[in-house]
Amino acid sequence: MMSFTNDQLQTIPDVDSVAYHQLQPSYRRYSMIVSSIWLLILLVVMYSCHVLGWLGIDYVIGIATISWGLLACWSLWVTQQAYALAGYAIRQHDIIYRSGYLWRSVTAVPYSRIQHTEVSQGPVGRWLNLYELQVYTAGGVSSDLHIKGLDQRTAESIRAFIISQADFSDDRA
Amino acid sequence: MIEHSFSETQRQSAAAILQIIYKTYRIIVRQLWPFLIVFFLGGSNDSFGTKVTIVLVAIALLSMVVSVLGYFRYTFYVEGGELVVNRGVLVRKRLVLPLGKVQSINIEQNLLHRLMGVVGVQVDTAGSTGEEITIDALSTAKAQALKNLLLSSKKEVKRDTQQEDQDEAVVAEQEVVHEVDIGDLLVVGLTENHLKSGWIIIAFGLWLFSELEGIGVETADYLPSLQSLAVLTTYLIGAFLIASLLISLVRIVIRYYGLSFVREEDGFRLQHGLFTKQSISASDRKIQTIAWRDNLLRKTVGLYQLSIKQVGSQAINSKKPLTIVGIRRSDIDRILIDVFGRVVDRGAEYEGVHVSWRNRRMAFVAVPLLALAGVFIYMQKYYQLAVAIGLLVYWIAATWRAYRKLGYALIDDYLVLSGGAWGDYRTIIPLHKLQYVAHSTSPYQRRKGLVTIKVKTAAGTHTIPYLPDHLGRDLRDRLLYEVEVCDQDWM
Repeated sequence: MMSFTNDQLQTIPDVDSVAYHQLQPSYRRYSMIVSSIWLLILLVVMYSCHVLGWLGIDYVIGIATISWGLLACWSLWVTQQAYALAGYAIRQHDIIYRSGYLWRSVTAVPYSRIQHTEVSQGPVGRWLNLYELQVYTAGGVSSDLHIKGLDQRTAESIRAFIISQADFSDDRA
Repeated sequence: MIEHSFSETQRQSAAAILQIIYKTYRIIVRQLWPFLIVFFLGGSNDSFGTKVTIVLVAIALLSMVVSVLGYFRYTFYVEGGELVVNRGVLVRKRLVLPLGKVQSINIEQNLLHRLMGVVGVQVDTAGSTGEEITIDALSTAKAQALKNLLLSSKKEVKRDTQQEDQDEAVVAEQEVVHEVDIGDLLVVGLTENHLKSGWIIIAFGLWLFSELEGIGVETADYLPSLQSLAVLTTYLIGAFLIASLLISLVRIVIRYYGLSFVREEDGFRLQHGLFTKQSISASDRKIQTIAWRDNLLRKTVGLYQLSIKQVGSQAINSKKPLTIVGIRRSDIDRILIDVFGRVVDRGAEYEGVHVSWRNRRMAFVAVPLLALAGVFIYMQKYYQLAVAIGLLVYWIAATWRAYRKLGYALIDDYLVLSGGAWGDYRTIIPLHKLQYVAHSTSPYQRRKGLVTIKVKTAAGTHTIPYLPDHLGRDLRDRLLYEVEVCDQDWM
């Protein structure tokens, strides 16, 4: 068991002082495209409801369209802002990912807890040549760290680094 | 005890067919029960009824065929330190599980199992993709042999890596930590949170009401005149209380009958159940968090509900946490000493969260309720108004209390969380079990200079909301630091 003195406490590394790496510039376009797709789906649903007569009075669709326009501007703006804030940092003992604009979060996963990692590419990512890195720890079904917007070399080199740092001896046994 | 290497391809016991059919039907009934009740209540004297019956019979037959096929397609064997399972009716699947990855093995016996003299076996892994293996039926001796085989290879692995030559106790020590007799069980049932059962009744009543109208029963005919509404309400509340009490009692007794919690060599074993006998084990290494709670009623009798969460996919944990009811504080202390070496939370002083948490939580519910109350006043619906105000008062009181109890304490290598509105809860998280540490802020929190800290163990996540910025960030850095300098395995 380790003894904990005040001296050590003062040297605790501070997560906020690290310099974050920005995501690939094309990730800005990526997130704009993904947001636009969602907005378009919403618009299609709205107009289908209108055509089917589920919205009742005629001016409802007008109000809905205006609201949609406002929502679209706002969410695309938020997406832009979120890109500027998003970033990752590789430290000696952990990997940190910062994301979100309105609801911001910073997640730090120590290498010693990582179970496995995954590099993948979605349809939009294939188009823009962007890769995603997912990091899994024990328990749960989804990844704990999901960094989108990396180029292949970066994604693979981060993964290789994580594997070299993580203690996978349990797995090999 | 038979020795079995399981190196040859194995099938489940034939009783598995029945078990699979039973499971399939249970799923069907669970999905369709509202529909089935309406169908049977509504009568089936028309051609629609006949069609529905045909569909139901077809589903039943089909699932039976699938069950039989599923049985024949399901084989397993152990080879080269791996458990291999082949299964799947339409899509054939092959699951390979290195024995070193086996987290726990649960042997279960429900009523059907007991009639056929077999048991079900569940093999859980720490995998994040939920690749647990379920063997529906196996003879008891074989199941025990399989369990021993899987666990013994785990021990070998452990010994290999640690190079330790500790003499293992030949006879596993067993010591009963906690047992619940029927008297205690009744007390637990009586002190259950009856509102929980009550909501089921209310929901069912409302649902039945609307369904009856749906099939043409004129519910308006049965509605009393306004004068007798007060009498009816009184009766309803009385009936409601008695019914919730009975439901809680029955539920608790069926689930926890014959509960025994036993300390074994390096872990615990929990057994309980009236019809479905469950036996769950947890070894000390795999235990992630220990939590206990009481409620307003149980506080008066000093009984807690303890839950021990261990490594496992979340599906397993939510279905099968080690839940021990009717336990006293002294027994909890003993368990804490067994697992952590001491009573971690003794003398703890908890750091509270920011008062904004309380105000915001109150406002979230109070504002809509007040608006609703205004509408009721305007519409002169005083009965509804009284209900709205009652809810408002309840919510404010509950949040007030919850705020005063919500907090955390960092005691050496442990994070202890406290909280609860009418009752209390405590959760103990050893720091070396943490998987990640995160902090998040909403726009409101940033304005107020507050952060929410979230930690994850292999058995679930915990959050500490609304901490003052510097405190939260310090806590996060400190937790992360502790995890990273600690060379203890989290498992």
